[in-house]
Amino acid sequence: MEADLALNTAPVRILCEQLSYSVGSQNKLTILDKVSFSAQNGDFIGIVGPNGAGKTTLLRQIGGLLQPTAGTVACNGRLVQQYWARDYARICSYMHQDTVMPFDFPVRDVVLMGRHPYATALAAYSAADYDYAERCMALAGCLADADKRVTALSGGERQRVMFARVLAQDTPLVLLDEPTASLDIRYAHEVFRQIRGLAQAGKLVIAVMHDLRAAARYCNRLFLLYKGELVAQGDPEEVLHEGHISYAFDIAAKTYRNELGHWDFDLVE
Amino acid sequence: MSTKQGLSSKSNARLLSMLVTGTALLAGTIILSVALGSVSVKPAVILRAIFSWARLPVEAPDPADYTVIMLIRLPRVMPAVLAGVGLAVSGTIMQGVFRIPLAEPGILGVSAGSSFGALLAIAGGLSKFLTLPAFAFVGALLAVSMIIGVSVGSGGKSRTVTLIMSGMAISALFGALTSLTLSLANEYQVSSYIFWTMGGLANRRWAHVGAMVIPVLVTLVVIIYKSRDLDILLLGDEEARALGVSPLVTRMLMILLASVCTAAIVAVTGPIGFVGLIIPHIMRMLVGPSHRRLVMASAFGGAIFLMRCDLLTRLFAWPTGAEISVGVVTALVGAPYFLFLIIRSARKGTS
Repeated sequence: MEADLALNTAPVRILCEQLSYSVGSQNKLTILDKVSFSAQNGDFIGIVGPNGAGKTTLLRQIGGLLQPTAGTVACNGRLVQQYWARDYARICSYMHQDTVMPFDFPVRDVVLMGRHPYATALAAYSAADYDYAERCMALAGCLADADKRVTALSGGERQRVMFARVLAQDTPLVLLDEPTASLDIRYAHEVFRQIRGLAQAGKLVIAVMHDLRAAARYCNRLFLLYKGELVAQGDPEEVLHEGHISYAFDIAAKTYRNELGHWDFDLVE
Repeated sequence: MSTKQGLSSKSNARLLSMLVTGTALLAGTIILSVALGSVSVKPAVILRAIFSWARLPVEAPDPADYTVIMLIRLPRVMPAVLAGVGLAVSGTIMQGVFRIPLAEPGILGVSAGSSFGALLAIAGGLSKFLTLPAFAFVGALLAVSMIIGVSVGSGGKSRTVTLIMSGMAISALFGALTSLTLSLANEYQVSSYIFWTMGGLANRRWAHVGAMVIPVLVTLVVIIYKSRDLDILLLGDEEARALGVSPLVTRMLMILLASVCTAAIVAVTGPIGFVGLIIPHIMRMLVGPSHRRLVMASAFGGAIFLMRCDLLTRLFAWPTGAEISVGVVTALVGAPYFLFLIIRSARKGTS
């Protein structure tokens, strides 16, 4: 099940400078506070942090789905807001936590929607698009559901369909918001391996990661957000330092290497 | 990968077979609708009348038949075709844009606005030939521009729920103005308004067809062209944006098209209920939810359904002499069938 797809790994560089985002009257509620970083092809970056730290908001800013209230996010030297939606959709794909389709489209048609940025307006999807969508469904583990109605699927099955759709979009920058939140451990592992494969092949992947063990294991770089601030970034084991964890999550944790040599942690009562 | 080649061409083949079936049913129903009535004409005579109108070298039909076909029947059948196409396609668009299977073309206050405009024309003694449709159309456009005003006033960020609520408020506003005007009008005006609200296709002329044809055809063509954008809008606004479809621009374009199209139809025929609600629903069950197929199927289905309902009113009027409005028949046929669909889908456990 390794990626046998022709992958678009065009150069992509995200530069985020003093990015802030606030809401409410007179922007009283700060969600993101002067976040700065840069990232490029080959990285699998995990965004970690407690609930309400601004993880999804940061991802949406990179995806051009929100206007910053101050600071900038640029992709390849151009502000993301300045791209036409269609042009940016060929650079950046985005997987939301949960996408619900109100009408009963077949799974195959939903995955094909990932090919929309490349299709001409009047023509139907080409045979090559069908072929690509089919391989993406195989990689995401939902090929068996191809002809089922998307409305009849469980949350986990639907999440794999949406992952296949993001794969079908084949952009050099891939943004994922908790891509395995509804998956069982087998599919979560499989999907994370696929994602890591995308980054190793040369894409830039940025994902909101809920599970710290998975973040340590699959990502090669982590961002720790706390109250809208980027408080730490770097190698997973540096970022998931006991001091950082107790500061950001307000819990005492003990970190160690488990028997298999992976980073692990336990809570101290 | 010959199997995948198959899937793409299979989808095109399905579309083609739907187009062929739809065209055949549409042509058959048109000929049936023109042929039947107090004076029956043969299908061959109908074709000869149309060909000789188009100055093709055929033997001209009997002048009396020609008059019946070209000046009485077709001017009644063609508005039915256009209204059926326009209402069903507008209903499909509204259901897609608002992600609600129960939306209908008048959801944003277009019907209420045009009713008020029509009443003003009637109360002002201006209900002649094209003045009443003009008033109704202006009333509908007023409702549409209020929706756009609300959308712009909220910084272009209006979500679908906001738009639906604005539509309800605008409908209520025009409803109140209509009631107010009715309470000041005389009995004759009240009864001609009530007759107008039932929706009708009787005594229409070619000028009425001319008033509808451009909005209906433009809407149909643009929506077929943009059908995949409408599919993608169903995933949600942010998802659509990430796939390269600007949700606000696309939604506004679709709403404008559907509203102007509905306004033009309601102005000519009066409000005809149920076509815009149930035809997209039935067609979704037949051809699936993908809008490229669905919009075309709804266009055929709407035209055929409305022509047949109109045929029923004429077959009823022929022996009895009582003229019933087509809106009565669409609701009499449509409502029970819709209830049946609701029960069936509830039993199947899907919405």
